[in-house]
Amino acid sequence: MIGNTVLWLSLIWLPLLLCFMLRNESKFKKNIAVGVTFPFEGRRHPDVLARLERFKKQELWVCVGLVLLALPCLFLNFVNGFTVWFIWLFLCVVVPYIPYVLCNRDLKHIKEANGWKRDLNTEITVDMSVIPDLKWLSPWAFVPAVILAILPMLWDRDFSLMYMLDAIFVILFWLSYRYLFRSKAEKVDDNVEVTQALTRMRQNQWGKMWLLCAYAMAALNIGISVTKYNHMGMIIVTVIFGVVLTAAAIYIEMRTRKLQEKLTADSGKGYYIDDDDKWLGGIVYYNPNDSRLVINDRVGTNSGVNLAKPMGKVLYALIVILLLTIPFWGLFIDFGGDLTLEMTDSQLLISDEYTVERNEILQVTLLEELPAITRIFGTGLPEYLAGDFSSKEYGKLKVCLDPTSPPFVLIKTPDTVYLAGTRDQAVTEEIYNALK
Amino acid sequence: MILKFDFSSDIPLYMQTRNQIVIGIAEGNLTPGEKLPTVRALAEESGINMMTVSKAYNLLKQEGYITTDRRKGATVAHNGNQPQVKEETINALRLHLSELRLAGLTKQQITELLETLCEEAGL
Repeated sequence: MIGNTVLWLSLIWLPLLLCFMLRNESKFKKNIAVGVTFPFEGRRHPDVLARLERFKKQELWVCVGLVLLALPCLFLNFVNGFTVWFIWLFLCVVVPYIPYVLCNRDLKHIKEANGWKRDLNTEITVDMSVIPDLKWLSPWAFVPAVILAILPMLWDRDFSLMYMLDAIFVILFWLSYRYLFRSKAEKVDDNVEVTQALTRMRQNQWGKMWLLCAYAMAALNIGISVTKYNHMGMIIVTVIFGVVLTAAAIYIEMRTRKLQEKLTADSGKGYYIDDDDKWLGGIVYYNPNDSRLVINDRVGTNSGVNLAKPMGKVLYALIVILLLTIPFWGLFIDFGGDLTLEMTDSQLLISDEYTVERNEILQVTLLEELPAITRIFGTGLPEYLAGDFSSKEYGKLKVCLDPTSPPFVLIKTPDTVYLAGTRDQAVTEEIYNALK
Repeated sequence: MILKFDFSSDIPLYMQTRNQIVIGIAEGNLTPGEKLPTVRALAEESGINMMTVSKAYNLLKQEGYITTDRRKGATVAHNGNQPQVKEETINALRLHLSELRLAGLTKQQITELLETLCEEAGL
């Protein structure tokens, strides 16, 4: 039940967030709502407003439906329930986009019926006066985050690999900041000042996001090193990291959208940019005349890829494969199965994980309670722990057990310390008695 | 200044870029000493390949319309660097005159047409 509740709490916000973000698309930003560009008069047309209102209601119902659907998951068996959870997750990612695509299609019809659709042309117009000469944050702004990320290695060698990996992530964040943003003017009409303000604002928000990721990662490493042997402390640090990062990312995205809405509130009178024919369903960018792979999303801060490029096709294919396989992810999670301890004449077999030579065993202890251990590498589920762990009392450990099924056998060899157990108390005690 | 790239045109994109910049300089939309966008910036903005933009800039440099500097980037050339009228430009003009003549225009009409075009170009 505890495992299910944690899982429920960590996933239930997903449909709420996605529906909130999609409902926000109904507000006009850069003359665009739900992926369709309208002139100023179109933005106030009763048919357009009515369709947008209907879209908002549909998204709300989808959200309520997905949350209600998740309620029975609370009472599922933790192990068998995973597949159900992943099917629900798949629905969460896909279903909210159905009203979006339908609304996009209807709005395009309204646009065409009112004569607001521009002729599809093969021409690209570039205003040389607004081509941005952007100033980028120096890589030095990210260097302290790299140093802070690897700093805990000074007092904690157990997690060295993780600290190093996180430092590499910080470097990747800088690379993402610098190269996953297209330096293109955010032109919506012929107002040069608005174009320049939109372009600068977007780049600033983009920089804030990646700096935040870099320093949050460094803070996480320091937090983990400090709370290393405090299981609850580590959970709190990880949860704070996740919540702060998600909340800040949403705030930055919404702030960008709000400013885009404000700056273009009076736009669309006379000349305006209309790229609708390059966006399939209002979501996917497809422009064979654009040689760039990375493109900026039309609204908000994020980037996307051009489906017309070969690499774009590969990336989209991977995303589709990833989405379609979500319902099957549960089948690949290792829940430990039957935890076993078996003895042969010369060896002790700990499930399918470890083999210990009996003549190498120096000491065997039966522990009635699980000592405070921290996972370095491996699986950490409420009813299955396996892999490399660290303990203040015993140092590095090879673990394979169910933490809810004591007792546990601690086996010391010259090179390694093992902590193992089964889900049957009698079997564990029998093995201990035979080994001691 | 607005650049327009027509992807359905028979004229290569580098030549479209070159022609529009030449017209921009001639009509005063680009003034001597004015800084042009870097090759990378123009490619990012238009979505055209960087090599294509680079080819157009190299051609403009060869023809003397622009100058390039590693630090300052590309700038519109000053009058001192005024390019000579090329033989092929004279030949193209001769061809266009023949086409107008074959279309039935008299010398008077051709002169009037040229004057109108010169006025439109601010000459």
